[in-house]
Amino acid sequence: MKLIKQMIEYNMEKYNYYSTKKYTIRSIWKFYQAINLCISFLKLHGIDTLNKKDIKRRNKLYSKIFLNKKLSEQENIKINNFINQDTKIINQGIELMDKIKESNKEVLVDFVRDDFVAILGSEVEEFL
Amino acid sequence: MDNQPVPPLIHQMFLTKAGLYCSERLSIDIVHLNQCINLLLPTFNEEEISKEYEKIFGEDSWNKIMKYRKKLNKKLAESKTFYDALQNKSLIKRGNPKSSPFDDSVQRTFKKFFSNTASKIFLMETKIYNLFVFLVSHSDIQRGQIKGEYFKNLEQNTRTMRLDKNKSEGRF
Repeated sequence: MKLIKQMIEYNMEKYNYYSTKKYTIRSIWKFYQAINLCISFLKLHGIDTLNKKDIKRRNKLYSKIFLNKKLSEQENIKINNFINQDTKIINQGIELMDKIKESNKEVLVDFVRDDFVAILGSEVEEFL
Repeated sequence: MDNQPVPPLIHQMFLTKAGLYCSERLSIDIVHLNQCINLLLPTFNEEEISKEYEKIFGEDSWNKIMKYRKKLNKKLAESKTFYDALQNKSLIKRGNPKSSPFDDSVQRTFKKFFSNTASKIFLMETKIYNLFVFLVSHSDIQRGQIKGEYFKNLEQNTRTMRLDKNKSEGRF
Protein backbone atom coordinates (compact mmCIF):
# COMPACT_ATOMS: atom_id res chain seq x y z
CA MET A 1 0.00 0.00 0.00
CA LYS A 2 3.08 2.18 0.09
CA LEU A 3 2.67 3.20 -3.55
CA ILE A 4 -1.00 4.17 -3.38
CA LYS A 5 -0.43 6.04 -0.13
CA GLN A 6 2.40 7.97 -1.75
CA MET A 7 0.20 8.85 -4.74
CA ILE A 8 -2.64 10.08 -2.51
CA GLU A 9 -0.30 12.10 -0.30
CA TYR A 10 1.42 13.69 -3.31
CA ASN A 11 -1.92 14.70 -4.81
CA MET A 12 -3.09 16.17 -1.51
CA GLU A 13 0.17 18.10 -1.14
CA LYS A 14 -0.31 19.57 -4.61
CA TYR A 15 -3.95 20.33 -3.82
CA ASN A 16 -2.83 22.27 -0.77
CA TYR A 17 -0.11 24.09 -2.74
CA TYR A 18 -2.40 25.10 -5.62
CA SER A 19 -5.23 26.16 -3.33
CA THR A 20 -2.89 28.50 -1.43
CA LYS A 21 -1.67 29.94 -4.75
CA LYS A 22 -5.33 30.37 -5.83
CA TYR A 23 -5.12 28.05 -8.85
CA THR A 24 -8.59 26.76 -7.99
CA ILE A 25 -9.21 24.46 -10.97
CA ARG A 26 -5.79 22.82 -10.69
CA SER A 27 -6.35 22.25 -6.97
CA ILE A 28 -9.76 20.70 -7.64
CA TRP A 29 -8.13 18.42 -10.24
CA LYS A 30 -5.60 17.14 -7.71
CA PHE A 31 -8.31 16.57 -5.13
CA TYR A 32 -10.34 14.63 -7.70
CA GLN A 33 -7.42 12.26 -8.31
CA ALA A 34 -6.86 11.71 -4.58
CA ILE A 35 -10.52 11.07 -3.78
CA ASN A 36 -10.91 8.55 -6.61
CA LEU A 37 -7.90 6.56 -5.38
CA CYS A 38 -9.19 6.67 -1.80
CA ILE A 39 -12.72 5.54 -2.67
CA SER A 40 -11.47 2.55 -4.66
CA PHE A 41 -8.98 1.62 -1.92
CA LEU A 42 -11.72 1.65 0.73
CA LYS A 43 -14.00 -0.35 -1.55
CA LEU A 44 -11.29 -2.98 -1.94
CA HIS A 45 -11.32 -3.42 1.84
CA GLY A 46 -15.11 -3.69 2.04
CA ILE A 47 -15.95 -0.13 3.08
CA ASP A 48 -18.59 1.58 0.93
CA THR A 49 -18.27 5.35 1.15
CA LEU A 50 -20.44 6.85 -1.60
CA ASN A 51 -23.52 5.66 -3.51
CA LYS A 52 -23.52 5.29 -7.28
CA LYS A 53 -25.77 8.35 -7.51
CA ASP A 54 -23.40 10.48 -5.46
CA ILE A 55 -20.42 9.41 -7.58
CA LYS A 56 -22.30 10.20 -10.80
CA ARG A 57 -23.35 13.62 -9.51
CA ARG A 58 -19.78 14.44 -8.57
CA ASN A 59 -18.27 13.17 -11.80
CA LYS A 60 -20.71 15.25 -13.88
CA LEU A 61 -19.76 18.39 -11.99
CA TYR A 62 -16.04 17.66 -12.22
CA SER A 63 -16.27 16.98 -15.97
CA LYS A 64 -18.11 20.29 -16.50
CA ILE A 65 -15.46 22.24 -14.63
CA PHE A 66 -12.44 20.55 -16.20
CA LEU A 67 -13.67 20.73 -19.77
CA ASN A 68 -14.80 24.36 -19.61
CA LYS A 69 -11.87 25.39 -17.37
CA LYS A 70 -14.22 27.86 -15.71
CA LEU A 71 -16.01 28.02 -12.37
CA SER A 72 -19.38 29.67 -11.93
CA GLU A 73 -20.58 30.74 -8.46
CA GLN A 74 -23.04 27.87 -8.12
CA GLU A 75 -20.44 25.32 -9.19
CA ASN A 76 -17.98 26.80 -6.72
CA ILE A 77 -20.44 26.42 -3.84
CA LYS A 78 -21.29 22.85 -4.84
CA ILE A 79 -17.67 21.80 -5.26
CA ASN A 80 -16.67 23.31 -1.91
CA ASN A 81 -19.49 21.34 -0.28
CA PHE A 82 -18.25 18.13 -1.90
CA ILE A 83 -14.65 18.80 -0.89
CA ASN A 84 -15.66 19.40 2.73
CA GLN A 85 -17.52 16.08 2.81
CA ASP A 86 -14.86 14.13 0.96
CA THR A 87 -11.90 15.12 3.14
CA LYS A 88 -13.40 12.74 5.73
CA ILE A 89 -13.10 9.88 3.20
CA ILE A 90 -9.45 10.73 2.54
CA ASN A 91 -8.72 10.76 6.27
CA GLN A 92 -10.46 7.42 6.62
CA GLY A 93 -8.41 5.94 3.76
CA ILE A 94 -5.07 7.13 5.14
CA GLU A 95 -5.94 5.86 8.65
CA LEU A 96 -6.75 2.42 7.21
CA MET A 97 -3.46 2.37 5.31
CA ASP A 98 -1.56 3.13 8.52
CA LYS A 99 -3.43 0.35 10.34
CA ILE A 100 -2.56 -2.16 7.61
CA LYS A 101 1.06 -1.07 7.72
CA GLU A 102 1.22 -1.57 11.49
CA SER A 103 -0.41 -5.01 11.31
CA ASN A 104 1.96 -6.22 8.56
CA LYS A 105 5.31 -5.89 10.27
CA GLU A 106 7.54 -6.23 7.24
CA VAL A 107 11.31 -6.06 7.15
CA LEU A 108 12.28 -3.15 4.92
CA VAL A 109 14.56 -4.63 2.30
CA ASP A 110 15.45 -3.17 -1.05
CA PHE A 111 16.92 -5.29 -3.84
CA VAL A 112 19.70 -3.17 -5.33
CA ARG A 113 21.09 -5.77 -7.73
CA ASP A 114 20.48 -9.47 -8.25
CA ASP A 115 22.95 -10.62 -5.59
CA PHE A 116 23.02 -7.59 -3.28
CA VAL A 117 20.49 -6.71 -0.62
CA ALA A 118 20.35 -3.41 1.25
CA ILE A 119 18.52 -3.34 4.59
CA LEU A 120 16.93 -0.01 5.47
CA GLY A 121 16.03 1.35 8.89
CA SER A 122 17.59 1.76 12.33
CA GLU A 123 17.95 -1.97 12.92
CA VAL A 124 21.09 -2.09 10.79
CA GLU A 125 23.31 -1.39 13.82
CA GLU A 126 21.94 -4.39 15.69
CA PHE A 127 22.70 -6.65 12.75
CA LEU A 128 26.28 -5.41 12.62
CA MET B 1 -3.51 -15.11 -3.45
CA ASP B 2 0.16 -14.17 -2.96
CA ASN B 3 1.67 -10.98 -4.28
CA GLN B 4 2.51 -11.43 -7.95
CA PRO B 5 6.19 -10.68 -8.71
CA VAL B 6 6.66 -8.07 -11.43
CA PRO B 7 9.70 -8.07 -13.79
CA PRO B 8 12.14 -5.18 -13.07
CA LEU B 9 11.67 -3.50 -16.47
CA ILE B 10 7.89 -3.37 -16.10
CA HIS B 11 8.36 -2.25 -12.49
CA GLN B 12 10.37 0.76 -13.64
CA MET B 13 8.05 1.60 -16.53
CA PHE B 14 5.04 1.37 -14.23
CA LEU B 15 6.56 3.77 -11.71
CA THR B 16 7.42 6.34 -14.41
CA LYS B 17 3.87 6.18 -15.74
CA ALA B 18 2.44 6.52 -12.23
CA GLY B 19 4.67 9.55 -11.66
CA LEU B 20 3.46 11.09 -14.91
CA TYR B 21 -0.13 10.45 -13.86
CA CYS B 22 0.41 12.34 -10.60
CA SER B 23 2.31 15.29 -12.10
CA GLU B 24 -0.02 15.80 -15.05
CA ARG B 25 -2.11 18.93 -14.66
CA LEU B 26 -5.37 19.74 -16.39
CA SER B 27 -5.22 17.22 -19.19
CA ILE B 28 -6.15 13.60 -19.75
CA ASP B 29 -4.22 11.99 -16.92
CA ILE B 30 -6.32 8.85 -17.25
CA VAL B 31 -4.21 7.93 -20.32
CA HIS B 32 -1.23 7.28 -18.04
CA LEU B 33 -3.38 5.36 -15.56
CA ASN B 34 -4.68 3.18 -18.38
CA GLN B 35 -1.12 2.54 -19.58
CA CYS B 36 -0.20 1.46 -16.03
CA ILE B 37 -3.02 -1.10 -16.10
CA ASN B 38 -1.99 -2.29 -19.57
CA LEU B 39 1.55 -2.87 -18.29
CA LEU B 40 0.51 -4.71 -15.16
CA LEU B 41 -2.31 -6.95 -16.46
CA PRO B 42 -0.22 -9.38 -18.58
CA THR B 43 1.97 -10.28 -15.58
CA PHE B 44 -1.01 -11.99 -13.88
CA ASN B 45 -2.57 -15.36 -14.56
CA GLU B 46 -6.01 -14.36 -15.85
CA GLU B 47 -7.96 -17.25 -14.29
CA GLU B 48 -6.59 -16.64 -10.80
CA ILE B 49 -6.95 -12.89 -10.91
CA SER B 50 -10.51 -13.04 -12.29
CA LYS B 51 -11.60 -15.34 -9.42
CA GLU B 52 -10.02 -13.02 -6.87
CA TYR B 53 -11.65 -9.96 -8.47
CA GLU B 54 -15.09 -11.60 -8.51
CA LYS B 55 -14.78 -12.43 -4.80
CA ILE B 56 -14.57 -8.72 -3.98
CA PHE B 57 -16.66 -6.99 -6.65
CA GLY B 58 -19.35 -9.63 -7.27
CA GLU B 59 -20.13 -12.22 -9.92
CA ASP B 60 -19.34 -11.60 -13.58
CA SER B 61 -17.63 -8.33 -12.66
CA TRP B 62 -14.37 -9.37 -14.39
CA ASN B 63 -16.03 -9.77 -17.80
CA LYS B 64 -17.83 -6.47 -17.32
CA ILE B 65 -14.64 -4.59 -16.47
CA MET B 66 -12.81 -6.09 -19.47
CA LYS B 67 -15.56 -4.91 -21.84
CA TYR B 68 -15.45 -1.58 -20.09
CA ARG B 69 -11.69 -1.33 -20.65
CA LYS B 70 -12.11 -1.90 -24.37
CA LYS B 71 -14.64 0.93 -24.54
CA LEU B 72 -12.40 3.23 -22.53
CA ASN B 73 -9.39 2.46 -24.72
CA LYS B 74 -11.40 3.49 -27.79
CA LYS B 75 -12.62 6.69 -26.17
CA LEU B 76 -9.14 7.56 -24.95
CA ALA B 77 -7.61 7.05 -28.38
CA GLU B 78 -10.22 9.37 -29.90
CA SER B 79 -9.88 12.10 -27.30
CA LYS B 80 -6.07 11.92 -27.26
CA THR B 81 -5.89 12.70 -30.98
CA PHE B 82 -7.99 15.84 -30.52
CA TYR B 83 -6.09 16.77 -27.37
CA ASP B 84 -2.73 16.54 -29.17
CA ALA B 85 -4.12 18.69 -31.96
CA LEU B 86 -5.25 21.29 -29.43
CA GLN B 87 -1.78 21.35 -27.88
CA ASN B 88 -0.08 21.75 -31.27
CA LYS B 89 0.61 25.47 -31.48
CA SER B 90 1.72 25.45 -35.11
CA LEU B 91 -1.91 24.89 -36.11
CA ILE B 92 -2.98 28.13 -34.46
CA LYS B 93 -0.64 30.28 -36.51
CA ARG B 94 -1.60 28.63 -39.77
CA GLY B 95 -5.30 29.56 -39.49
CA ASN B 96 -5.44 33.25 -38.78
CA PRO B 97 -2.39 34.86 -37.14
CA LYS B 98 -4.11 38.12 -36.15
CA SER B 99 -7.02 36.61 -34.25
CA SER B 100 -6.67 35.08 -30.76
CA PRO B 101 -6.06 31.31 -30.66
CA PHE B 102 -9.51 30.46 -29.34
CA ASP B 103 -11.31 32.26 -32.18
CA ASP B 104 -9.61 30.09 -34.75
CA SER B 105 -12.09 27.86 -36.56
CA VAL B 106 -9.72 24.85 -36.63
CA GLN B 107 -9.15 25.09 -32.89
CA ARG B 108 -12.85 25.47 -32.26
CA THR B 109 -13.71 22.29 -34.12
CA PHE B 110 -10.96 20.36 -32.32
CA LYS B 111 -12.20 21.66 -28.98
CA LYS B 112 -15.76 20.67 -29.80
CA PHE B 113 -14.79 17.10 -30.71
CA PHE B 114 -12.51 16.86 -27.69
CA SER B 115 -15.18 17.95 -25.22
CA ASN B 116 -17.66 15.50 -26.79
CA THR B 117 -15.35 12.52 -26.35
CA ALA B 118 -13.69 13.50 -23.07
CA SER B 119 -16.95 14.22 -21.23
CA LYS B 120 -17.88 10.52 -21.47
CA ILE B 121 -14.52 9.42 -20.06
CA PHE B 122 -15.09 11.23 -16.76
CA LEU B 123 -18.19 9.15 -16.10
CA MET B 124 -16.28 5.92 -16.77
CA GLU B 125 -13.29 6.58 -14.54
CA THR B 126 -14.36 5.18 -11.16
CA LYS B 127 -14.38 1.52 -12.23
CA ILE B 128 -10.95 1.87 -13.81
CA TYR B 129 -9.62 3.22 -10.52
CA ASN B 130 -11.03 0.11 -8.80
CA LEU B 131 -9.12 -2.12 -11.22
CA PHE B 132 -5.91 -0.10 -10.81
CA VAL B 133 -5.95 -0.29 -7.00
CA PHE B 134 -6.86 -3.98 -7.10
CA LEU B 135 -3.97 -4.87 -9.43
CA VAL B 136 -1.46 -2.84 -7.44
CA SER B 137 -2.55 -4.38 -4.13
CA HIS B 138 -2.17 -7.92 -5.54
CA SER B 139 1.29 -7.40 -7.02
CA ASP B 140 4.80 -6.86 -5.75
CA ILE B 141 4.72 -3.27 -6.97
CA GLN B 142 2.71 -2.06 -3.95
CA ARG B 143 5.96 -1.79 -1.97
CA GLY B 144 7.61 0.31 -4.67
CA GLN B 145 8.04 4.04 -4.41
CA ILE B 146 7.88 6.66 -7.14
CA LYS B 147 11.13 8.58 -7.36
CA GLY B 148 11.17 12.37 -7.34
CA GLU B 149 12.58 12.43 -10.88
CA TYR B 150 9.46 10.78 -12.28
CA PHE B 151 7.17 13.29 -10.58
CA LYS B 152 9.02 16.22 -12.09
CA ASN B 153 9.20 14.92 -15.66
CA LEU B 154 6.47 17.19 -16.96
CA GLU B 155 7.22 20.10 -14.66
CA GLN B 156 10.82 20.22 -15.89
CA ASN B 157 9.69 20.20 -19.51
CA THR B 158 7.33 23.13 -19.01
CA ARG B 159 10.06 25.03 -17.16
CA THR B 160 12.58 24.60 -19.97
CA MET B 161 9.97 25.75 -22.47
CA ARG B 162 9.37 28.89 -20.45
CA LEU B 163 13.09 29.57 -20.23
CA ASP B 164 13.47 29.24 -24.00
CA LYS B 165 10.60 31.68 -24.51
CA ASN B 166 12.22 34.20 -22.18
CA LYS B 167 15.54 33.84 -23.99
CA SER B 168 13.94 34.59 -27.33
CA GLU B 169 12.36 37.71 -25.85
CA GLY B 170 15.78 38.83 -24.63
CA ARG B 171 15.10 38.85 -20.91
CA PHE B 172 18.25 36.90 -20.04
